[in-house]
Amino acid sequence: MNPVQFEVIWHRILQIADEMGIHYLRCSGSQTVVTGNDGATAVMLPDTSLVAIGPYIATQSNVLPLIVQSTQRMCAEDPGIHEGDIFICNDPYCGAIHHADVAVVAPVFIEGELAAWLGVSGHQLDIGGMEAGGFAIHAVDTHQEGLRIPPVKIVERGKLRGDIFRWVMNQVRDPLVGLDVKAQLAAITVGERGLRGLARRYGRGALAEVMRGSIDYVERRFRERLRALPDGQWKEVQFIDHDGHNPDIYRIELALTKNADRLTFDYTGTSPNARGLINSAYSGLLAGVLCGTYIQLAYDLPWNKGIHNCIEIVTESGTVNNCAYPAPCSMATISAVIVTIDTVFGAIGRMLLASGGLRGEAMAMWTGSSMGPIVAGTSQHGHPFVYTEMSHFAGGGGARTYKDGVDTGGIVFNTTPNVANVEEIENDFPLLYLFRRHLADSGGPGKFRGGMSAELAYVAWRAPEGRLEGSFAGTGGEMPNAIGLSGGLPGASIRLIGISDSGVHDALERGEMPPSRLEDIPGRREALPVKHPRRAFGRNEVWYHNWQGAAGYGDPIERAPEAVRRDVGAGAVSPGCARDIYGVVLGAGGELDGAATEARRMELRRARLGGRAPAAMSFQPPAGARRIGEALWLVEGEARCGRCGEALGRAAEPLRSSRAIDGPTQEAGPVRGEMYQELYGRRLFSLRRQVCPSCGTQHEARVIMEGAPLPASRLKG
Amino acid sequence: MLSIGVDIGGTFTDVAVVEEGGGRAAQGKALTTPEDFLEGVLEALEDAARQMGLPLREVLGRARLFAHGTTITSNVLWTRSGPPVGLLATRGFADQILIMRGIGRVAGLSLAERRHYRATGKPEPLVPRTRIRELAERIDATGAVLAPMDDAEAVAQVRGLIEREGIEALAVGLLWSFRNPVHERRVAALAGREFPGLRVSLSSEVSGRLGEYERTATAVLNAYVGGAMEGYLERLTRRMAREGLRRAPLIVQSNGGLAPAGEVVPIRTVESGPAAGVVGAARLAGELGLPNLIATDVGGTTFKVALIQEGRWELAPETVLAQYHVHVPMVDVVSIGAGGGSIAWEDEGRLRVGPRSAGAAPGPACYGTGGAEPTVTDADLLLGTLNPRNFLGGRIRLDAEAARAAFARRVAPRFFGGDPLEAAAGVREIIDAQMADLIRRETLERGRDPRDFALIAYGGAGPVHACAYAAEAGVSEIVVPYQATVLSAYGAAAGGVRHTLERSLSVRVPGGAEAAAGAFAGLEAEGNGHLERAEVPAGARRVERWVAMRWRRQVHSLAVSFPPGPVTEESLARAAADFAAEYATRYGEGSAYTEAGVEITRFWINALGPSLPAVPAAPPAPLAAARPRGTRPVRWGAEFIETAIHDGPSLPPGAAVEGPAVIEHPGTTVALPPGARAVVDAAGHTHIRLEALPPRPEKKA
Repeated sequence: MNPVQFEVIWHRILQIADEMGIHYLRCSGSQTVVTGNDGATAVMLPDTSLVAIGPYIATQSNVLPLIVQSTQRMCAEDPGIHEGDIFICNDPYCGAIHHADVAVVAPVFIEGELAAWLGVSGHQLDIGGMEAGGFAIHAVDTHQEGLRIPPVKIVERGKLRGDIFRWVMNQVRDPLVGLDVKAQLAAITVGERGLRGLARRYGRGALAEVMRGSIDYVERRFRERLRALPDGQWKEVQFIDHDGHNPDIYRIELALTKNADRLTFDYTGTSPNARGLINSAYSGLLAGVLCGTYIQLAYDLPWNKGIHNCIEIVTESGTVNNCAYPAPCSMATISAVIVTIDTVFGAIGRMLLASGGLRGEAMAMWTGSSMGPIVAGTSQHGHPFVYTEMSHFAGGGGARTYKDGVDTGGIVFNTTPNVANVEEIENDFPLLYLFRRHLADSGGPGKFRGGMSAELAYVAWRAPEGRLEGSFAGTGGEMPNAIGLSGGLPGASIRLIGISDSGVHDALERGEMPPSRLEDIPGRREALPVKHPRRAFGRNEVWYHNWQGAAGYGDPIERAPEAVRRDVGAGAVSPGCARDIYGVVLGAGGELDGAATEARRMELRRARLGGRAPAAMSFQPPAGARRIGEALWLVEGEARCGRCGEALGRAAEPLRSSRAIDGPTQEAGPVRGEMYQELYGRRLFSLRRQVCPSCGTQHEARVIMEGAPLPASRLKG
Repeated sequence: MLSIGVDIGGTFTDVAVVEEGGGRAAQGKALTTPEDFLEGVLEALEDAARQMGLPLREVLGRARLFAHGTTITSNVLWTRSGPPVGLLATRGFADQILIMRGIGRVAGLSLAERRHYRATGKPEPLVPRTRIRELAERIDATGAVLAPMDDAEAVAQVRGLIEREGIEALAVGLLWSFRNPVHERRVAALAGREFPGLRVSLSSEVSGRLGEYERTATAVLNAYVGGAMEGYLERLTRRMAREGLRRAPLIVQSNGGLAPAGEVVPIRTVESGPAAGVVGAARLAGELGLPNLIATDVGGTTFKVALIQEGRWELAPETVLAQYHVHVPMVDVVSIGAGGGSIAWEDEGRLRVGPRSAGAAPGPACYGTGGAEPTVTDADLLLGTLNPRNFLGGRIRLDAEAARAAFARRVAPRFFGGDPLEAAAGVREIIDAQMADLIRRETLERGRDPRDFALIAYGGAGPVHACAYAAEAGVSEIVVPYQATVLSAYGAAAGGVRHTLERSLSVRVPGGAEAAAGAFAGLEAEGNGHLERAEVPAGARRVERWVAMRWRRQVHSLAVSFPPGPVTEESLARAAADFAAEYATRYGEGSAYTEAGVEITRFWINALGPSLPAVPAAPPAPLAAARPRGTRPVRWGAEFIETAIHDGPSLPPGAAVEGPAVIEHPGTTVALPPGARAVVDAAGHTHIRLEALPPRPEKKA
């Protein structure tokens, strides 16, 4: 087709997806949608292929095609799909990721023929069911998790069906959900108007041609990118703790095979359906795989079906990230889905590291999990509310091969993360924050450090007496999920702590400054399970939580001492971690002690070698050597330590003869699961570091679980 | 009497001199001199004086108004040349300025940029963590002091920052200070007593709005740029007085209005150039009787759009500076990377134009200054629209062969069978469509139809492309103002004193009249003080009232003009009705949850002094067909047509030009396609009507 017309029309189509999103967000009443940008839009072909997606939550856009497929499958005959119809759906077994994400999809007919599908999706404040806010902690099957709408015609030939709308509204606690649905319908109208205008101007044929052509273009570009990457297989093993009933551990296993211009994500081995809400249906698995792939490999391409066309997913129904009906899955996004993204990040990150030209694109894992802290009750303004604390959208960015990760830089599945000001929260809800700050040592140590996460605490304030309740759904308390690259260490895990008899409320009433650090809050501290159902939020109770930090890159004892000194000065790293993990010694005034640092680093190296003196580190990679890690080279098929030259293995198992050192997870820093390990009286997880047996350079660091398979990399050739 | 406006841009420093009472005025231009901006300013002033045939001293001496737009603050920010700044925050919240609401990493980035996670980052902090100290104090959402501040601690913390960190300016950002500034003001008083000479910037002074992150960021940025700004203004004032100016210069602010040097909040001058351009456009809208106008500015790297409705512009709903979200009242101007320097390139089988720009260096290929990639300007030249001898007033001689070679090398072989002219035509079509897309979005997003607007085109490349992007967006009436290449300077000269004062406060409707009255009264008293200090006579003071309204429990609000006079339940109800109507216009009937009622979340006013009165222009009457200077082949649609070339400055009032035609001005070129008709009015503005949209060219695939 004419390249000029192609460019003009495609620009307009991308803008239409964007406009739909802007329009939806402007009208929405959902705090999570508007402040967290927790929504998505998509333009699709008649065959449901994704053409363009809007700017916000990448995961949600990816499942809109599944919802359209369900709509076509279930509604084509009865009640029929006609011009002017819009369908609503939030059933995870029909394509939604979890119940809270309500989507509307609509066919666009032009000159009587189906020309496209449009979709809009967003995270609702409430969806009915056992628990306000959408996370049904105690559910054992999906029927308890609230409204589950299969594709249902909510607008019929241009007219809102009041009966359907009222039926939806009857099931939810917050009337604002109705507004949100209307905002979604309005966004569909915006998209439809845009596409019709394009068809009028350029013809239906040209529109169809550009939509298809845009997918072909992306596919062509993506295949080229894949061909530039090494073939091989990368295995990742990730964990989810607590299923809402018991502190059981579930596994997500990935074997990613890359062959020429194809990627195969094989999740065989993943744990069977969990008893509780942490599962995700196939929709969440697809969303997670695509989201991770987009970010790491398609960062300079429009995100559409062209990428999906190069991907195969192998999975068994009835597993944690492809659960079988009627398994509950209301928490999918912040458990199985984000952990699935972690597996994708780990595998692709290692593939990039071995790629030569694209190694600079590799990132260690971002904040590896998510959470849904919810407070509900009656506000100081007199109306009922359900508030989801969204500060964890300021998660840490994963370390890069040349630079630290971004502190509180966002959450991986959101291209436009955002958190509310403390003032905005306190203005709307009866809460008073004691602090919200970066969490020291939360960024995974490494030559380049992972981005920090943060911590916060709040009390009830000016709340109608005895009317507040809270629940919590989080992942990654007993172990960190953000795993580093090339010997970088994992970031912090999450903690939820309740302090019921703090006296803080009383003190505030007496005009005293409230405590502003966790350790200064008086009273009895209770480690709360990362999933707990609704419970009263008492007058003098303080709730604290922190979220996961991001992972590091490279051996921490290779970090520039000056960078460690700066981190200690800024409170990002504690002096203890500086000494014991980075091997950096500071004087009383915080100044760098160069000699002591050198000695300390030698000491750490020796300790890694069981007391032996490390070999000289003077390896120069010969011409033709291929770099496959920060300090790892393939020389004529042999993997060698990039510091001392020691042979460590072959391409098929590069770290085969490395020395494995297993220790507690908190060897990566404090808040690495020890609180919950203590609570449950067990230590299921350890930190396995793989070091060069000759010079002690750290090449890998993983969180492993007893009895679980080990992650591995296998390069071809 | 004269009004003189000066605008310092990236490449040129512009001057507009306006004779009060109307008539064509003088315009001056000089290269911007970043080592010392004053040199460029004086040179541009000299240039204008020369055109008037007067010595500069006399021109300055006759000035009633000397309005100055400067890029000092932007420069300090972009080059990071400010002094060490310290910050005081409420205990427990020191990190808010570093956490940046989690959005700082991607703030101000395009979607394509945001998707490349690896390449994104937060800015190097203007205040590193070591220069942030906490104070044990707490105020709650109602403004009640829960924990009083300790004076001794405040003094000790500031002392620590000065002695240990060497700070030269202090920002204070305490929770809820906009609702109760008692602690922040106390810090300022203590600092003034203990550390005289320390520049102190309070968040409650720079912003009356909810949101500790933005307020604190605004205070920090203000502290950071303040010293440089003040130093420059002092030198400017002294120098201009020496050159014969009898008035104190007024400074152009980001809100489009002016303020005396002593009243300027430094950060509120950032991006004042584009703001003044919109003011200039709005004033012309008044003169020309075109109250609804799309202001479009095409420069070398960006295409900017602002909407003027009922003669008024809006303030941007949010402002991002150097990736910080700040509370700076700023004229709502949106931009995309599309301009004369936008580069055409091949992207794996796709023909792309921009957003990368050749800028001024290396510049388009036709500049002959080392640029090898074909740009939009190269296309305009090849298509015959631009005259190689008339670019930037003849300052640059364009090389058509270089342009042709660039297209022949880069884009033509892959897409256009090697034909550089076809390639150039394709590139123009793409860039014009992108510009039209932005116009369409900015109008449709507000529920407005572009067909209800006229369009004003300025900036060097605006008039070149205006007819094309206007047609594509469905606009049929276009004005190229006489001041097209100096519109920001003109907007400065045409501006008046304007102070924007805001206060976040939740007030329910109905039932909130008393609270609303109190809010406006407070703001208006404050505004009155500013006008007083700006020596605006009492009789000449005006106030515009605004509120941000939303349906209760919804998050987004809309700006609604609030009626003058006593604030009563009736006026509240009137504003609420306007809000409901505007909401329905934008989002459609039934798109609101009206049951919860309406709420005001923020009040603001513009306290206004007089501005240069608009002189209604006589509608252009076509008197005679203009005589062209000559002809040359120019490509319109699919073919080259021997096209009449007119000399813009010599066209008399009433001159009528039929398209196809090209009208050449010293700094710009008006491209008039077939079917368009232009008439020049007495003020020198060119009025264009696109009778029929140009036919779509049929092109080879």
